[in-house]
Amino acid sequence: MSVAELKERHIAATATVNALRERLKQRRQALLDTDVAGYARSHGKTAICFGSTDLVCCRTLQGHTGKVYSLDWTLERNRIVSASQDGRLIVWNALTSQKTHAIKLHCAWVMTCAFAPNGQSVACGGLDSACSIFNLNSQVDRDGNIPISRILTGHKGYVSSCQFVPDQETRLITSSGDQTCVLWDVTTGQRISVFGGEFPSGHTTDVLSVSINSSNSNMFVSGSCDATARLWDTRIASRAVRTYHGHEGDVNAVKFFPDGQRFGTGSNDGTCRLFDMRTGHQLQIYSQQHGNNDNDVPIATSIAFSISGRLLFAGYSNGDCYAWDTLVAEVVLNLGSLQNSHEGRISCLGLSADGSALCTGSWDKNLKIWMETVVLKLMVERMAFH
Amino acid sequence: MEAAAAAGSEAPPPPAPRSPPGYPDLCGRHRLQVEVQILNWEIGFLGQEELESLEGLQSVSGYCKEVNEYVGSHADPLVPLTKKRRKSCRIWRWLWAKLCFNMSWICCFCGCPCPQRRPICTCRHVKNCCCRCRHCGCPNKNCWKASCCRPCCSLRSLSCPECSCGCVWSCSKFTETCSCLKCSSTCCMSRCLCE
Repeated sequence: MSVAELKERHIAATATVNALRERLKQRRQALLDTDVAGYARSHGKTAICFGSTDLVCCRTLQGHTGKVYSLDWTLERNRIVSASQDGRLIVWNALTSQKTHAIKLHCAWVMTCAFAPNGQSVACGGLDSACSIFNLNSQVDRDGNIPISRILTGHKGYVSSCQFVPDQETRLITSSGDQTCVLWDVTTGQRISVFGGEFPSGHTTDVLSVSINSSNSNMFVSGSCDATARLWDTRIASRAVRTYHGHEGDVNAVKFFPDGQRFGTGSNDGTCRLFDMRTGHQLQIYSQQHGNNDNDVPIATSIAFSISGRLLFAGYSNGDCYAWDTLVAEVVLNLGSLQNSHEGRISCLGLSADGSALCTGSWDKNLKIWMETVVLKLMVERMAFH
Repeated sequence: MEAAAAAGSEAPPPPAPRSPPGYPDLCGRHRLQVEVQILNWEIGFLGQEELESLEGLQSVSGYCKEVNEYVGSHADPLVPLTKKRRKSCRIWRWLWAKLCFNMSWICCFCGCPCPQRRPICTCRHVKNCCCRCRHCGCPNKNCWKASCCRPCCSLRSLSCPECSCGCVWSCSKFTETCSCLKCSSTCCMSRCLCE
């Protein structure tokens, strides 16, 4: 076939794809009779009322000497691992704010970290295009550093996000600037599956985040600079199960809703969105009004749902950290305006396993832990009693 | 000389850069082929799977209902108590405060109705009653003097600033070396939570 014929076919195929996408969009629009907020209001729901002292900063974790980029909680025992531009991972006791481990990394350009389900290992990755695993129980080397127990190499671009598969200690999923996600066997260091890349229906540019479905760990969702989120089945690497359109900028963060049937996203377009995993419907947009200048819109960098799903916490590039009432799509609290709030961009955040505490990480080099006041007092009393 | 002049007039033009030869654009052709293949795949996927999957789907309101139901059926430690419950708590506390003014020695033993009382007493006259000492094991349960509550300072064993990095409590009166009124030792918690 000649180049001219190929070009004609390319133009025709592109037009067909665009027409099909438009048809899909219209079909979805026809089913969009309401959104979550519209439904909730029609059933008498009102926004949660937060007093100025209902949610307080009860801990500031100080110790990093560079911007904090990522954090993760353990499933139990309330420990947090954080990764920073200072080239260190720090493991914190969230209750006492004491550091239990400080790991100096070979590559200082770390972008992500994660705790293993058993809390005995941590993983991290970044511009070295690899994911390093550290066993916290290892003997330190001559320099007093914890040695790498395994290094997962194979990505052809930076590692932007990593997460251990919840019920499998030996499996880990990474996302990368090479447009792929990879499922790894941590014990052997081998890639089990590659999602995207050469295969069609993969992301067409850098992948920035992953979230594994805790209700069904075979499913995970990824967010990308191509402004889409994609759902993957770890058993079928050849293509994405579904692609979710709607955002108008990089999708920086994805996180499953607690019921495992929906997920949230945060984007450079300044909005967060809630999608239905099975159907692809966009159920809600969480967006604030801003000035006409697009440069004024702070980007959503990180998101997390509270344990019931009632609250969506979203960190932004201007230091704001909104608590959205997910049902009525209103901001009910801005942690950035509270006492002892961060002084820089919120880069990461996460809920503890029992949902009682939120940890935020920032470019101001600190992490902060937030709790509801009554729950905090109960916890303190319980600790004192024991 | 004439020959030389003739030769000079017929001198070859100076060298000039030439366009590269027209090699076949193999890389571009291959790339086009791959792109057309991907587009054809996507046409098949969109046409067969995506559009077909929309057939029989219920409208978005059905899924919004699922979200509402899920949220409504799960407790959330980060969501504060409702305003309605708080109002009733305040009324009771006001009432008990009035009564406790003359009966402070029993205000936290006879059953303050504030639902937040246990294990923390929110009675406004806490400094005059031993509800905290009761948990600390103060032997003199009927004593209402503040000095009786010295064992409560065991709270300071938890996360005092000198043991950790930057323990900060969101209390307007907190200082890193705030003193426990009861026993004058450094403590980072009891004062804030007595409010």
